[in-house]
Amino acid sequence: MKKFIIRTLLFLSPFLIIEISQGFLPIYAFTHKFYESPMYKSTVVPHNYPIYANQKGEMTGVGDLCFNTKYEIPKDESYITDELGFRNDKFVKNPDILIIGDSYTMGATLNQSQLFTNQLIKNSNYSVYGMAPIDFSIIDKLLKLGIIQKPKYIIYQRVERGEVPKIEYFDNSFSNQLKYKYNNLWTLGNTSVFLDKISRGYINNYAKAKITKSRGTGIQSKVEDKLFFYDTKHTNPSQKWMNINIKSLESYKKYCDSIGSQFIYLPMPNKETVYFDKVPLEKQPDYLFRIGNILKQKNINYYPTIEFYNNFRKTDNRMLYQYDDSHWNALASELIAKELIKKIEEEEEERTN
Amino acid sequence: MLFNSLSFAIFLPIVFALYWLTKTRRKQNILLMIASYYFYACWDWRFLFLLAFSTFLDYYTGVKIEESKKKSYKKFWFWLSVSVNLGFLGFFKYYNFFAESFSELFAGFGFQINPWVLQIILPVGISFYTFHGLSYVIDIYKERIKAEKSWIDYALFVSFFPLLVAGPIERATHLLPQIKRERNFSYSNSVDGLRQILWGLFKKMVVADNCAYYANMIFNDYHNYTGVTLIFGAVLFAFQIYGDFSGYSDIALGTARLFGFDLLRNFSYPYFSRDIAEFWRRWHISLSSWFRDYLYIPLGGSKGGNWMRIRNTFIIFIVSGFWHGANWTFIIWGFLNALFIMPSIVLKTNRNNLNIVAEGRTFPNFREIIQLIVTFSLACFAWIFFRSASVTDAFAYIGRLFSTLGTGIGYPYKLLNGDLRVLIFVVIMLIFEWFMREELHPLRRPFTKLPTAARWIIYFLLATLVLLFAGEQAEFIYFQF
Repeated sequence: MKKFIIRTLLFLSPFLIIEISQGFLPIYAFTHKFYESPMYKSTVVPHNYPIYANQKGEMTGVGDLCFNTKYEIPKDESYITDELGFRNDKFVKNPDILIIGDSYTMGATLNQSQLFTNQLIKNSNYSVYGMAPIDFSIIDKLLKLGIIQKPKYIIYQRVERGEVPKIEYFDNSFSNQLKYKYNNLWTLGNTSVFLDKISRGYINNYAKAKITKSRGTGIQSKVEDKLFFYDTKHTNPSQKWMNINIKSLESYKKYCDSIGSQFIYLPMPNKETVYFDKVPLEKQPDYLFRIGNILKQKNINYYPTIEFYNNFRKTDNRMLYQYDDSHWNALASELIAKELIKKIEEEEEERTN
Repeated sequence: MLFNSLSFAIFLPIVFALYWLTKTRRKQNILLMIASYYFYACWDWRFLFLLAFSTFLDYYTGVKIEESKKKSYKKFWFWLSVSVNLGFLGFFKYYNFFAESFSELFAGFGFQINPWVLQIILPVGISFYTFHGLSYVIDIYKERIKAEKSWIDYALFVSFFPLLVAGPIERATHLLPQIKRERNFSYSNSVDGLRQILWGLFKKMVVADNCAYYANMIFNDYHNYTGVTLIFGAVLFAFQIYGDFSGYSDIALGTARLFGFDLLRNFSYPYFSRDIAEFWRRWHISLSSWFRDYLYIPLGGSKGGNWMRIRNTFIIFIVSGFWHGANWTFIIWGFLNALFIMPSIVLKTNRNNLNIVAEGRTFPNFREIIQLIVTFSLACFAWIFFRSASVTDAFAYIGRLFSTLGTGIGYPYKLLNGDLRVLIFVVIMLIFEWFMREELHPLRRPFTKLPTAARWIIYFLLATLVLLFAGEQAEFIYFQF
């Protein structure tokens, strides 16, 4: 038995050493983008939220579309995650505005100061808290567990190509409450982070990427060499897909009404929708216009981002998206933040009058 | 808990350590039973009750069958067990299939019936543990074995975690005596178990999961591919399902060996078969032999002349197809295999190839090469039905395959985008298996006669391939059956 254990450990030791060493390295050691660096990968490590809590640092990242090619553009990314793990300077228990979104809200390739939430804070007097990347259903859980107070505004941000999932209500049973507390115990001591880091296999992925000379698979613009797009498959979604999304948005609005919060949907256009002429596509994809019309009829509040972008492009040549990434840049984040605040203030004024 | 997961990598050493620290056989069996129930609960704890009930039913009826003096009582307990077992299996696995099929049938005659379709979750491994229980009860009824008196030992026989969710389908005559025997740690057995686990992980994570990526791409979008690519898709699926299921079986057998158990062999290099009959003696052996012993032979086997052999062969292949799942695709897959085996049944050549291909030689002769290619092609053709989402899709796939055979010959290469990894992995697997085809698994003797350094280099290379090139698909295909 002793011989068996010693020989097995001897065989496994190089692999174990490599895997365990990941636990001591910075979160971004083997990734090229912040977005995936602090995400929990392992399903067996206890955690309540998708991102490592209480992280602070800086890294040099590149976009997701043409990494490891001559077109990649290095960017300095500073990051702070709060006690729940979301990318905010600090946790806000009682926010005026709660944003639930995807990688746009999480701020892929953006600095901490350039985050959408921080732009909203900078340009208003509201307290703002951002949660991403996560589904709308998180609100029900947070409210029922008493982690966050009911906000005045709930903004749901979602990229055009992303599906809007059905709301799932949190079962606030005793066992779920216990599970939440149990997971928190692990997370508080950073044990979960360490365990996840040693089990997520980033060194293996990195080695594999090096061996296979992996590179970004974005589609290069035929008009501008350094401009890349995610894909052109999602430019014409089906009516069925649109109906599912509308149904989900209706249920979000209904939920917000039931708790007395204002709901605003903030659709993020695909890069190829905004810069369709640079892909180039024959005409601008019209999904956001179509869904906008239906939402108007259904009295669901939304911000027409695509219309703002189109108008902006008529008078300003500055880019709204990263060249080598599918996400918006700091300028777009700031502009939309200002626009959203303007909309909220106008609506508040209307209500008080 | 999947065999190829981190949680299993933690679970296995813990159970292994506790098991060998436990001194008595009874305590070891209790520990293994608890570990097995925990293992099963990791999928869905609610189905533990079903597993426990099924175990209790067969245990109790087994004892009652043995105790009953009258034939009629024996029959009662026997049919109670069989009908409840098959009732559960039928309900969970086939209820919706029958409801929808009847509705479609009536619709064909102009009657619109809304079937009462249920949202049923299929309990993982139900087909496997039901068959364990059935074989046990049938064997007692036929007085081949005595009823097991120890509840723990019987419960372990049904729930032993290496075989619980996807077999091999064990027999009480084979596994129960091992459960009742004192087990001592054996260095060579344990090392061999680890080798087999390593080989299974390689087949599953490297070969099957990488093949799955392209096979899924082709099967899910077959309208947009032409003949040669569709052939390529079917061949990749053949290696995917082989790597997936035989890889699972290797891990199961290797894991059981760590605890001192020898499970039934499930695969014996089926793609090195010279005819379909040989293929079925080498593919999912524990299921084929189950159907042979508990269905084919009771139906009369091959004793009643050609017609009875033909009828019984069709029955067991169609039932075997249906066992895989409630879909016509599986039934047609079974039917096709019966059709392919028919010439050898009629000509009574089905037992011609009982030995290993090219036995005692390094390479096969020309005739054997042709036989291997024909058998593999037939198997691939049948796999198209197995893999397709519906019968319509399968026919459309085959139709398109033949109608566009001459076009896009170089497309499979383009599809791989110059990345030939998947083909290299398949070739590595085939080379190892060909040269070790006389062994239980390829990392056995005479492999172990290599110098230690050479063996360790190969182990490290295989483990590195598993870590670096594991494909995306994690779940085992046979878990759904």
